[in-house]
Amino acid sequence: MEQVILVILGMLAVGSALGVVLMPSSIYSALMLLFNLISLANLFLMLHAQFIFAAQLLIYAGAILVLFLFVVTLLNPEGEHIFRDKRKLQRAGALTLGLVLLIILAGGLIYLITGGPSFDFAPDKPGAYPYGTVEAFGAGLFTQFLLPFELTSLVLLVALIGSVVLGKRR
Amino acid sequence: MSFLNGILSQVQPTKLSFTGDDFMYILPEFIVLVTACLLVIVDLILPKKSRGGLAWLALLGYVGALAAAGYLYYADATISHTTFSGMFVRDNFTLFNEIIFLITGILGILISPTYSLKRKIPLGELYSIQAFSVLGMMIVGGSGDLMAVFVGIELSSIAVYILTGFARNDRGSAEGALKYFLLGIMATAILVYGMAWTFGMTGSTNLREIGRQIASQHSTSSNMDSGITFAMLLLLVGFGFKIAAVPFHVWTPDAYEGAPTPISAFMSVGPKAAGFAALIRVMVEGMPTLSNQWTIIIAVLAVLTMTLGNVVAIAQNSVKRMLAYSSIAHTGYIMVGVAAYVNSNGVDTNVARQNDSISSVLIYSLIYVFMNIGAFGILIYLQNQQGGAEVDDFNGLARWSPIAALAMALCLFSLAGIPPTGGFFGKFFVFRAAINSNLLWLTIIGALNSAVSAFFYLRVVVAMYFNPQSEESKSKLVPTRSFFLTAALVIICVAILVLGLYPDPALKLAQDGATPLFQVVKAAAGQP
Repeated sequence: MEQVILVILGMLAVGSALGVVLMPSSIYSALMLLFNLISLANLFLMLHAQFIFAAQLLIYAGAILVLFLFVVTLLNPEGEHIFRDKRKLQRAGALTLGLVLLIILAGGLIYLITGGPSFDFAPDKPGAYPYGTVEAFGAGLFTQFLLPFELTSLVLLVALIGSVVLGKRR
Repeated sequence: MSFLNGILSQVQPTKLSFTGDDFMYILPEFIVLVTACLLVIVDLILPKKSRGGLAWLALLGYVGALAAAGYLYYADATISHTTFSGMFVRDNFTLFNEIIFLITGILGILISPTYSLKRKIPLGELYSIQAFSVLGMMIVGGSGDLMAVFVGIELSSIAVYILTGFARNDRGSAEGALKYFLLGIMATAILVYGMAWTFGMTGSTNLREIGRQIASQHSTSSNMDSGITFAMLLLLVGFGFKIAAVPFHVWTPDAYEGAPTPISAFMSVGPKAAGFAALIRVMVEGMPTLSNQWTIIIAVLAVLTMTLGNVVAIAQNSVKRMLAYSSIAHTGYIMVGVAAYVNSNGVDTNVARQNDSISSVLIYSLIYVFMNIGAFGILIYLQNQQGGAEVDDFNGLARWSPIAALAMALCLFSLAGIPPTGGFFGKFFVFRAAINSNLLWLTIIGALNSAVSAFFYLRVVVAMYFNPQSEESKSKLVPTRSFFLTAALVIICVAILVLGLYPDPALKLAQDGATPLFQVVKAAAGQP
């Protein structure tokens, strides 16, 4: 069952990634990127990395993509299509570099599957939480890293006071 | 309810990470935090007329924190106690840095009010954000973990970015703040990247653990991992920005010139000393095994920093800008002290010699606080009276305000390193540490630079004592009195003279402050 969902999510991620490049309008591209980020986030969830799942959704899908959409709608750039690009030299260069990247990624993947180092994500101590889970993150945040965590709130407070003072009408 | 119990039983394995003792060891920091929050709140409640009292509240907080730090020292003078899971360390290095930062805070408050009221700078927020900045620096001074170093540096830096832009009617202030902010966040990005590499190579953010890991990797394989060297380089670049070392100094002149003068005074000493505290904590405690590498880099940067700072300062007509370049030059002198950590004739771990190096950095930072804020203080006095900040505005100061001219001369002699001022002993300790480490070439370059620096400091003295005051400047003269500014200048002049004539107690405290670092280094190398 898990395998099936993984494959479906993977296909969705690859498909939406292609969509980002191939869509004719920038807004559609941005929306495809959103789709891509959500499927990636779910892949992280399937790998039991719950915190990265939440961070991916909140930071990338929630904040950065909204910023992209703002910029796209504000600037409204003319639609460019990858297959209709006139500059031949640039096109050839892009294709070559893309192929090189593809070969490197595929090679790495094959190496990992066939004979690479194997990873063990299981908890090494009884009672310890596996790396990347919400429990491990929360426990670290409120025990070992309590002091920096609390100090971060002061950083935000200072930024808040500062922005009020600097932004106040004279 | 059973659901909640289920969650609680899951959370069981992790225990509470701090005790009441932990709070006692961060008492000075806690007092500053409470003061900073109170300042914002009281500022809202008080009527506009009585807001001058806020300065007293801020002073009370700083003095209280100093008293708390002193109490912890007298309760146990050899204390070395880690709190909050190793995040914060209460030892004598922490104490000495707290003294530096709290004095910076006190003097920063004293020189602010008159200048700020004239320029409609909101005082309550100014004091409060400054207190938060001091808190961040104190955290850096006592940090035992990269996370604490990072958050502390950010707290103090973000506060200072804001303070730089506080003079909102002044375009230069906004420009300086923006430049400082943009370059500062870039430096932060480099710094945090270096920390990520360090964590990746050693598997820990705790400085002592990092030191142990690097030492054990070093002993098992003769080839040092290049990843950790890369991390060290990134960290050096990040700290270089914070202490304004050449070639990472480009933000300094504009930020110092644009900021309100009391803020320039504050940021030229506080964040610099915090940068050095972070540099020493991370490099000496975390990476003693790599000391041969980082000291040579710091030595080369020190030469560049001293030379550029002094040579460019000669050409400046604005005293504020001249003091900005002079502060770059002083970063260079302090870096000589850091570079002296390693004996260039070969590896030795002579603790007395290493102690000389680190304690010279500490005591120079302390002396520098007094003399630099003093020079800025007279500049503020002059700006309060007639507005200008050029060298020509100092013409004839000795005629119409002989005491101010005398105080300025004292501060400038101290900055130039002329006895019997504190600045002479600061340079003496730094250069002596360099000579003991066989860095004679570095000492010679430093001494030559001191001679160059005397030229532009004395130029102001000549203007004060030998040039007549112009009619135009006479007409602009508006006598202004400030009790706080006078108090600050009296404290500064007394401190410069005391440190120049009788530096032994301060030196002893600085040597005590450097000692706990070497215990950590020994422990990392596996020695008792």
